[in-house]
Amino acid sequence: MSAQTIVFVGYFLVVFAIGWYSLRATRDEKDYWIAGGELGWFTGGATMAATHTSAGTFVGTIGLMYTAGWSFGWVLLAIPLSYWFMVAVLAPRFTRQRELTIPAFIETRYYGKGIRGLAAGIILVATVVYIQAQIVAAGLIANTVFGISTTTGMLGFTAILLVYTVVGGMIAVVYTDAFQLVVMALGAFLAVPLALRQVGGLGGLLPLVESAHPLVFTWETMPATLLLTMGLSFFLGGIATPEKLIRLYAMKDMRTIRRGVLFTIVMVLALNLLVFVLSLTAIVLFPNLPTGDLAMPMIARAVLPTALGAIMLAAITAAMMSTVDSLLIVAGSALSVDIYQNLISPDASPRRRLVIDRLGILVVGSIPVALLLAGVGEGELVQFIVLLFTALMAAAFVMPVVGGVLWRRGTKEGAAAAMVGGVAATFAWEALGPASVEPVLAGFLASAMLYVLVSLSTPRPPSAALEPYFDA
Amino acid sequence: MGLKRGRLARSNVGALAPPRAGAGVDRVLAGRRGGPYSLDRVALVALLIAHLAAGATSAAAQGVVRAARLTVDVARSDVSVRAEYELALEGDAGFVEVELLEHEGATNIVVLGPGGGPLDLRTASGTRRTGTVDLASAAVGGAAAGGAASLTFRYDVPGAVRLEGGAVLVRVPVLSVSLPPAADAVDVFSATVRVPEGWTVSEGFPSGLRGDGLGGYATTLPVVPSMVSVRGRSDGTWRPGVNLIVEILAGAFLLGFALLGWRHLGGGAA
Repeated sequence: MSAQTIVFVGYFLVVFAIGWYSLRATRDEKDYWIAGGELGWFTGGATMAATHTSAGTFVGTIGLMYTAGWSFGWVLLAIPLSYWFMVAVLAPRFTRQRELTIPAFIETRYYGKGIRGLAAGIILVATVVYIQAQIVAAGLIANTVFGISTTTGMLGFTAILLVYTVVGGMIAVVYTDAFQLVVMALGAFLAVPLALRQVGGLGGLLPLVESAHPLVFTWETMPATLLLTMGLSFFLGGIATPEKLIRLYAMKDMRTIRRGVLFTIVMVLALNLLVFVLSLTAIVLFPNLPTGDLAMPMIARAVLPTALGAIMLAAITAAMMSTVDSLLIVAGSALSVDIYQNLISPDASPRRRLVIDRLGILVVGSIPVALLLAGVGEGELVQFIVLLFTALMAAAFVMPVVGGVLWRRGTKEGAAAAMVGGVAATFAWEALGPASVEPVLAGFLASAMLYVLVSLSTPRPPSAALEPYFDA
Repeated sequence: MGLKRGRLARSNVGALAPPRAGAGVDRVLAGRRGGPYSLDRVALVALLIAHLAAGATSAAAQGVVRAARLTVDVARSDVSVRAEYELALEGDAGFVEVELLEHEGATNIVVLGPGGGPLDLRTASGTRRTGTVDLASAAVGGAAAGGAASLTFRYDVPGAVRLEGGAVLVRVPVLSVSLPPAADAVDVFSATVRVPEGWTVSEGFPSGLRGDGLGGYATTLPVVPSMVSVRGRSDGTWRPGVNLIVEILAGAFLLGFALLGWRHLGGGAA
């Protein structure tokens, strides 16, 4: 057994031990879904930052920076802006009444079970896309670490994930997230000086980067419209992604949320800055990678010392697992609680519900890898799959969530139209529109117009639906 | 759901030369949409045009690198390199592009091609130099054997060895063939660095160097890097490298954090 395999196995044993130990603190459904709503700022901020920085940052972002250079780096400034908006504008009203799921918030604010089912359905579809990105990244890492094929790596990742998710809960997830964030941050922090050391420091790096990739510090690698709409996608998706919104419910009060989100912003900015420097060193050290998504696995393998590199890759893989098991629980609950129990069989026995819960997770977890094996979504840069997910989430949830707590006039019909129209416009643009503009623009504009127009042309919402968010 | 494929890539395929300079948009959009105009194709089209302009009539190679073996012999001040490539080629390949990214202190390297003569390497951008190898040459092993080719290059790197007191740093640029690694191969690249008797090596790039006890240190990687390096001592003494110190510090930090977390979780569960 190689040193890398030993480190990988040992790392996962530690993570599983933390998760298993945390499960002992889970006493009821509130603990299971939102960690009892009692998280402190460090754990709350760390789990939000870890959820954000999984494959998206350490495989996708570095891959796109490797390919496109610094122009994409500026797009990432939209991320802290979205967190600021979340904590300063959205959270104070959004958290006045705490729910267990985002579709449950939709039901409360928009007074209808059907619209809750609709929200759950959209989460299910978008989650499949996002999990695909994580599975692709995990396959690449498994290929790098163990020398197995990417497909075998994807299957192994999914199998481990599905087993792990059955025993997972929010408390387990947040503590493993915090641990993984520290490992990822440590790995990135140490990788930068070690990588710079190989290329003669920062002074040696810059001329070599310009030699290897002359356009890296120009704006010519990507169309301006694509950069701007990517920024919009990150901003809107950052506000309205369900697995982040639910963490607002998990932190104990607004003061904690403010401190937690500030911690998230600091960590995300710092990690992205480190990732940018690492992408530059990857351009020099590995100028002909077949895909930019290999940049971070190669840095971990070739730049970091063997054990630390393996820990880094294990942390990234484990963070993907944390992200995906959170999503699987969200998606599984959307299928079993928000759709099956809410719409199809409200009187199902607790035992049957449990079977449906597990079946839901199994189905949601199996679809992405089945699609990848069928060649759907295969070969795309991870960052673009993540962008499609954020576009779908933004198109579906920004207006119903933000409008729902800031605009009294928003109605059930308006929210339903915004969700359906936003998602449809996103898919339509993805399929038919010019590639130089991210689909989030079409999706969000359609969603916003439909939300306002349909709300204004339908009866006002009942006061009972507004009272939790406007009259407290 | 699949992401849409190739529309914008077509609109940007006009960026042809130099290959790397034109590659940015195309690489992004090829990655974005999985389009038909990947970096390699743009680079190859650019090469083809350049080649035609120069009066050549052959076609650029497409295919993959099945193995790349680098052997580095370190002398007291200079370094001799032998780079062997095994290629799997598609169709009728006329030539293959090679490139060299010269790092600090190692410039104007003269590379001897498969035929033994010096390769014509031209500056593409900054310290990046590119050239082509004629695959029809008799010196290319296996070229006639249905899609396989073996190329061997030799070059010396003057000034690659830096001595400061007893500390030694050897940094060697790697001549690479501009084809992607084979997808079904595990570690395409392997390097062996042989250092003079009495030297000790504590670390290198790529990391994970394994000594053979006879002055040789070997490592492997799934892709071909732009350089290899080793660090150590020329006076025969052994001192821990930065990598080892970093690993120990990182391990201590993680252990401390894990213990803190364990206490926190224990308190929470009690």
